[in-house]
Amino acid sequence: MDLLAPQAVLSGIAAGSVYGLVGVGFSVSFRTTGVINIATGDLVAMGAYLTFWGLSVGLPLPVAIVVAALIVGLGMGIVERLALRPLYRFGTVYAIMSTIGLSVALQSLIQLVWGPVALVIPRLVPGEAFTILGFRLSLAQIFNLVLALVLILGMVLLLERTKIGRGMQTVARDRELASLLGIRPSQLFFLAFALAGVLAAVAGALIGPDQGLTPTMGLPLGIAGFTAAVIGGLGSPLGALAGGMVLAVAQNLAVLYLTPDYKAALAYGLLVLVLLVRPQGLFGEAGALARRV
Amino acid sequence: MRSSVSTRPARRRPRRVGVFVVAALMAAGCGSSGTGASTESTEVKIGFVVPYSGVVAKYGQDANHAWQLALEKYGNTVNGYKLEQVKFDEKCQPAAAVRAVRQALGADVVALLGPTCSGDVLATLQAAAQAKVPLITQAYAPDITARNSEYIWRMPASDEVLNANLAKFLKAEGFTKIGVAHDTTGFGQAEGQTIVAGLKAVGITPVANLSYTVGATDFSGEAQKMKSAGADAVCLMGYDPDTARFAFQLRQLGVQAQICSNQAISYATSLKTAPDAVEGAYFYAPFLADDDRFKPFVDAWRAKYNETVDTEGYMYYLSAVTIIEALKTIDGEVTGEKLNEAIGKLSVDVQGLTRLAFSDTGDPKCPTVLVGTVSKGKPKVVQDDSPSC
Repeated sequence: MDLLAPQAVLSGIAAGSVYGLVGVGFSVSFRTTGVINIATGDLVAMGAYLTFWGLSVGLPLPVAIVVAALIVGLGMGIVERLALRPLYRFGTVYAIMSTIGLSVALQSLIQLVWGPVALVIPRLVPGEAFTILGFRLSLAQIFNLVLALVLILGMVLLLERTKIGRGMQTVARDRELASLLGIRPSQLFFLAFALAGVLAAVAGALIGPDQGLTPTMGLPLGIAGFTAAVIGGLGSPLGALAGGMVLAVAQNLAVLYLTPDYKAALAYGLLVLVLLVRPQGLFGEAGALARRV
Repeated sequence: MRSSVSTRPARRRPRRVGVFVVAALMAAGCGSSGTGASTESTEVKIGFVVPYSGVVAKYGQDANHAWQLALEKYGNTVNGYKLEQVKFDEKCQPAAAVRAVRQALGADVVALLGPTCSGDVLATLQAAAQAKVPLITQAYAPDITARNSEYIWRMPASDEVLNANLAKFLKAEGFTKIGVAHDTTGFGQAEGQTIVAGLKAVGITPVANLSYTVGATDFSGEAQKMKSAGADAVCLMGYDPDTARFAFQLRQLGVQAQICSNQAISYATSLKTAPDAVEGAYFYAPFLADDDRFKPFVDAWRAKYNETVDTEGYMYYLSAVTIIEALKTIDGEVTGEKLNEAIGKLSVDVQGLTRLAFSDTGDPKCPTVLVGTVSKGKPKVVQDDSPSC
């Protein structure tokens, strides 16, 4: 039996889970504030670099990842408070433009601190692949997939089943109403960006060992994550995961059956198609985008 | 002194002003990192148009290191001319390179060291020629010296020469089903075209010829395509560490084909990113620190910077020496035109490393042409096919 296509799907699902994790970062901040954080990819890079830093000061790898995620999360929350929130009253587009500046600033900061030479962090689990039922998989791929699922499901539970999550939804729908209900939007704005930072940083630690750490490593991941979030439905964590997998699988199949030259075009084509046919994305709520524009 | 002073009462607009200030500072940071102001008539400005940011920002660091090493060797005043380095960021993006070269030319540089990325050189060749300023590049695309510009000088052999040699080597090693994957940059495309041409010249038609986006994270589709093509060798032509990542994903899919590549696969970034996957890879090299002839240079670099120099560092050093040696032969005021003429006449031994001399097209007459491999995590010379000079 020809396993080329099933293997492409399997490899795509594994790669797409990390795109999904990055996509959730976009979704969480957008869901609460309406701001698309263009610097999300650079938060991925920052997470990987801070993991490297944690290792260099003697922390065990899992601890280094947790510390990196907390620093990136806290840092992003502070940036939201100081640099983005003052712009909300002019319209979210100003805050979005500000995140473009944040993206460039983060790349420059990384290069300034760690230099332009690529660095490497180790894997949490072995990267060597094995064959199972004719398919090639590595423990690292399985681990990344499971961890991404756990984190995203945790995020879904947080957003759907807790007071904080419901508060975020209320704030997203109507900030004035939320205030009348005793919800403090400012705290939830901070939390949304901090959570996005944490998820992006974990994605950085997961992909860093395969990717190599460079100041610009976040750029392609940011694009893939954003595309995943839009395909899945901006604001929907599960949608971002599904979007990441759809994107990666579609790209792999395009390489196999069309030509690799169309791989990038396919990603953007898919994005445009989804926006045309189902603007709210595969799992997005109808009207969610319209409310913000 | 300011030209005008407002008499209106100050109004507070801290946030908007702050945003504009930040934007202005960032815009400034994205452009030139130096200025062209000259204070002494004997100063000669050399425009460094190299990537100081972006995916190959390391090249900018290599260029600065090489320049400092050259100044240590030759002094910062040559033939009465004080050398001034002026930096411009090409980012390895043609549009940025065009801006950077314009800024450099506007700053009255007499030579351009860089651009380094092939696409950037092709985009800026004409501007340098029109300004009659020599452009000394470290890029590989054959087109660069095939456009009849009198102001282009290339340090390494073109990838046409290097890949033709690698193809011969692979044929001699018995590989017949060879797949090629290259990135979509100007460099990667030229690499892809020249390795395919080199293979065809020795009677091998590649079983697959793919492209990929530089900086891509997932190569599993491309790796599967290679697997399905049944390649016994896969040549990965692009920047590091992409090539190493691609090699890693090939191995993950169980593809045990011989890896062949350019020298990037032997760089520290590749060796760190995927050490097992690149072990045993064959690659072409216009420089290898392992080669005895380079030992004094490699040792000097290591002593100063505590790192092993790679090809870019060596090519930047040769570029700096080219300018310095040419300046030694000039009398009177230095212009780009005079410097260009002097470069064309050079025939100088560079501390036993190589002979600096150029053909009519601007290609080096005595390039280093090596085939290397990665052995026990270190790049080693397998075969030396450099022309004798």
